[in-house]
Amino acid sequence: MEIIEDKKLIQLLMEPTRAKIIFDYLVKDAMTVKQLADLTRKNPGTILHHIQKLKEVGLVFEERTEQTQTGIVQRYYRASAREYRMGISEMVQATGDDATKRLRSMITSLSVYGIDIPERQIGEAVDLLTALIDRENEISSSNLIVNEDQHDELSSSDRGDASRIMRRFALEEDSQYRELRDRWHNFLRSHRTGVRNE
Amino acid sequence: MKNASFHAIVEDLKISFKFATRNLISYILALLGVIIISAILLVLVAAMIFIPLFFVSGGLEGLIALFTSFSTMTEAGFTNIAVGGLLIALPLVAPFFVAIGAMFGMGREIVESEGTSIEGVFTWYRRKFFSLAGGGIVLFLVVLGPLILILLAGSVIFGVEFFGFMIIGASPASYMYPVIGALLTIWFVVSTGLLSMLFPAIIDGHSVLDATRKSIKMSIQYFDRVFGVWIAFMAILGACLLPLTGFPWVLAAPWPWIALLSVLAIPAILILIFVYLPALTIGLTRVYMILTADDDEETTPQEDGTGPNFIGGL
Repeated sequence: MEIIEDKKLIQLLMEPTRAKIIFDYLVKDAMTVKQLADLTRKNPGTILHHIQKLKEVGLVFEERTEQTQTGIVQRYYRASAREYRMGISEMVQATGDDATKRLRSMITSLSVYGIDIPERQIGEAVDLLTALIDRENEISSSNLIVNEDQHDELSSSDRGDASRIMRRFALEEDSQYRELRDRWHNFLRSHRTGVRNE
Repeated sequence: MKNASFHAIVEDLKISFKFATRNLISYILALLGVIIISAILLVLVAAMIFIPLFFVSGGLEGLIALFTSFSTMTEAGFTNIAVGGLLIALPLVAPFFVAIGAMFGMGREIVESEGTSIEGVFTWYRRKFFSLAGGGIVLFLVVLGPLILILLAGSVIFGVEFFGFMIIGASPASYMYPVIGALLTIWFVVSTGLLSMLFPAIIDGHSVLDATRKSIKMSIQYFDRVFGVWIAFMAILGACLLPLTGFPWVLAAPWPWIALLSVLAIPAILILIFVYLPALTIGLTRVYMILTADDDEETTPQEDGTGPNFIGGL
């Protein structure tokens, strides 16, 4: 997993088509400009420009080139990581109001789960959640693998499951994370109304 | 895939012309659009050069006096004219190089995804304007620079008569014509061949300097493939223009010959602009993409035994 903390990268990924190309498609599989153009219903030129921007900043690379029978030279592009997360503090700095609005909306939407946070406490909730996610990203992005060669030989599903088990374990081992998590959970508990709308 | 053979070069040409004709309408409309934009830009650039010159030199009479004063200059003056002329010419030709560069962008879209759109050319024109203009200037300087240097060095060593000798020597009436003509043709084919990968590299995202280096490196490393395709395209151009070399003699011929040549010249020029030029951009872009196929490629571990994930979250 790669944490994106560079403000320029975050701004680059705020463009919806670019975000869709990388987070929805290229993290999963290598694809050509034509395939991406068909999926996003954009013209190939637009996709090519986005790919070039993503390539310039190292989020995308050329995996292989194939020549078709019709003479087309297809390039397959792929994301440089299988999973990305945006550094939340950097996202707030890079996008200003957009990211803050998104966080506030996220917190307000917890009401559907019975967590009603009053307007005056939303700022506090945003700060708590930001600190928690930042710490989580910091730990999750650290390299926990001790044997890279054996890791490369694992199947992708084993690799994914093992990675999730170990990231969860690493988080539980971190006292700072535990403290932040407890504060966040206590905050949520204190605002739980417990009313269910059946 | 990268090796050159007669069959590979014939295939390159066939595919280039096939795609160019398949996207003919897009190319015609796009070319008309960029020609109009380039002409507007040319007028603006010319205005930026000549309007200040008009006021600085003191109106129209001053401007005429300025240009006529060049005729009395010595060889050192000719050097100034040549360098000054080059500096004025560069911004004037730049918009047209951007137009040609934008065509390479369309070529890239076709080679990579089999299709292009008219608006595609404007996007390339706008987004890569300065890189393509820079590439055009590099091309202009590399191809014409040494020729101007020879003219300047010759004028310093042999005097102003050297200009006249070169110009008259290159005229069809002179016995020097075959020699100078052949040397100029060789220089043109070699210098443009070395830079034939320049625009495809700029379109691929390289800076002007990087693209220049890459083009020269590729044309040396894959000499047979790059020059094979380039010379093939030049030969086609030469074959199309060959009938025009007889124009001076045709002028002396009876009028039906002149009429026939004129009737043939119009479709020939249209084909050159709307089919040959797009095919050239497609062909060079395709060769560039084939030759750079494994430059930046990375290998990822093969997917084996993939299945559903059991552990969710995080």
